[in-house]
Formats: sequence, structure tokens, C-alpha cells
Amino acid sequence: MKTDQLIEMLAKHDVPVNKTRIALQVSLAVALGFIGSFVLLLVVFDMNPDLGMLFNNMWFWVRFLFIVSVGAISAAVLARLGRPAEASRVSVWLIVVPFALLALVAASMLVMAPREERADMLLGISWDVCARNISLLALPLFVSAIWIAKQFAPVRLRVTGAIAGLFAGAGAALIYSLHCPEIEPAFLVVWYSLGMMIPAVVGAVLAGKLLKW
Amino acid sequence: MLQEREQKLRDLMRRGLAGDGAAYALFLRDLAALLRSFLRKRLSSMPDEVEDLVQEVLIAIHNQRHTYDVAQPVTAWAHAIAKYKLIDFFRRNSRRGEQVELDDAEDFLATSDHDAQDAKRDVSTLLAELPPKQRAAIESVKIEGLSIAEASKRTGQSESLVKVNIHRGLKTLAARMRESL
Repeated sequence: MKTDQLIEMLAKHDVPVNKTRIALQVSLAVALGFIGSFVLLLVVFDMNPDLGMLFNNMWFWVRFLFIVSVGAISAAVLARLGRPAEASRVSVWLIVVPFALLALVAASMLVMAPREERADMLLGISWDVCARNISLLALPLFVSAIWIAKQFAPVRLRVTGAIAGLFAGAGAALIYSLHCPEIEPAFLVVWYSLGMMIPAVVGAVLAGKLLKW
Repeated sequence: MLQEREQKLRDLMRRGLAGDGAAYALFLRDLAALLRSFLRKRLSSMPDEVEDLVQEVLIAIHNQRHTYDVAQPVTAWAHAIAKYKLIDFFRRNSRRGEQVELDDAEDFLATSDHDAQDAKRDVSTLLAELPPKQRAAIESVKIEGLSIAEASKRTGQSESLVKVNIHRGLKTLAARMRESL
């Protein structure tokens, strides 16, 4: 087929794009990812029976804010990475901000705490399973995020894979926080961050295979 | 001058996305000439592959047209896709070391080449090998020029399914083009 014939074919009928349909597909994929992750939580971990009591604790809301800001920033960055004209101008490093802020809070609290309490603040009661559990819950969201990224045109595959993974990690952390009683900033900044970064690294490593188009 | 070219292209693209097929064809034709010149310069050791890659980028651009934001320069957008496809081509042909000159969108706009050679890979063969439903939708609408409603009657697919199958079919086509070069 000659290039001119190909052009004629591409231009014939049905050129306008249905933006509503795309928005709908993306929302549906995000919803399915969260539902999958939540079902996994119910099956594997169950909800925290004392969740309601945490609502009065300021640190519960700090944890919430931390996770949501990581998720929101990665979603915003991801949306731009999917658009070739903007991808090269996206400042990916914005994502560091919530981690840095929480690290600052955690560090000052550790410094002020009595020496013998510091280990507990860092390790809580679940340091050994936290990152693994978050990564597990990230699986359905990871599939959604990669699928969504593929519906667009990522030209920086590795970075896009990493941010998609981070978005899945943040979503999973949000779901996991319905089970996990840890709200100490020192704990969160180490183990929650690790849990979110595992899918991000997986995303970066697999990006070349999963996202190519 | 470059500004004018960009303006003209953007205008054609905007009209195309609004449903003006003739404007969209003109847009793709101008773009093909820019791509040909861009790729010919960078594939000087593989001149036979140029037209195939032009076609591959054109389909990629068409399939990803929803990622173009009409408020942005269309040249920068198309140039970013062309660059991605070129780097991807080098990678596929295990020429990782190849330096892609990372010029900016202005250079991309500066020279065009309307002298199309024959492509080595025949897109019509790849089209014929698509899954039957996708092929039927593309053949009736995109080749024979039936309207979506007529194609729906002919193929027995609902109108929205015809559109979905065109979209999927062109995506499958793009993936197979990528594999075959």
C-alpha cells in the first residue's frame, strides 16, 4: 500500500475522537483497580475492627493526606506523561515532596522522643509485613494503571512505568490503611514508602515490555 | 515562515478532529512529507526502511490523536511521536548505540520531502490478516467509504461496535507493523 492510500484510508470517516468515552474508560479502569484491591484486602487481611477509633487521631489523617497526595501527584504526572507534547516538560520530581515533608516530621519526632521509644516508633508491630502487603494489594491497581497508560502515548516508557507503579502503590496503601493500625510518621515514611516504591520499581523495570506501542 | 507552517498544520488538524476528513488528509500528507525528510536524514544507512517507518509513524499518530491537545503546537506533538518511534526502531534493530539527534520541533518543521518511495512492508497484506470483525469494520468504512450506519448493516455489528472494531483493528495493525520491521 502506498503512503497516499494509507493516508486516504486513515482520513476516511470516524476521525473525531470521543473524549467522554476515553474519560469513562479511564474512570472505569481506576474503579476496577480499587475494587480489586479492596476485595483482596477483605480476603487476605480483613478490615481493622478499631478503625473508627482512629478517626479522632490527628496522625490517622496525616497518613491519609500523605497517601492521597502521593496518589494525586502521580496521577497528575501520569496524565501529562501520556501526552507526547508535554511528556518532556513534566517535572517528575514533584513526587518527592510528600515523602520529604513526612520524613521531616518523622525525623523531628524521632529526635524529640526518648531514646528507648525510637525503635518502636520506627518498627511498630508490623514492619516486617507492611511493604509486602502493600505491594500485594497494588497488583490489581498496577494492572489498571498500566492499561490506562497504554491508552495514551507515553514516550518516556521507564518513567511512565515507574509513576504508574507508584500510583498503584499509593492506591494500595490507601486500601491497606483500612487494615493497618500503624500511624506513626517514622513507620509510615519507611515502610509505607517502601511498599509504594516496590510497584514503582517493577513498573520501571517492565515498562519496556508492558508499555511499548 | 515556520510559524505559518505550524499554524496551517494546526488548523488542518483541528478541522480534521472536528470531522473534516479532507482537512485531515491534507494534514497527514503534509506531516508525511515532514516525517520523510526527518527520517531520511536519520536513516541514511537504511534508506529502504524510510517509507515503512513513515507509514508506521502515520498510523501511530492517527491512533494516538486523542493525546493531542488543540491548545498546543501540533508540530511538537508529532515530533515527539516521531522521535519515540525512531528510537524504538533503532532498539528493535539492536542499534542501541545509535545516537538520535535530539533536535527540536522547529528543525522538524524546516524541511519536507514529498518524494515517497515504495514501502517494503505491504499494509494491505497486514490488513487482510486482521481478526475478521476488525477487518470487516475497517474494510467497509475506511476503504470502501461506507458510513458507520451502512457498515453496521453490512457487518451486523452495532454502530458503536463498528467504531470500536475500527479503533482496535488499527491498533492491532500498528502492533503488527512494529513486529514486521
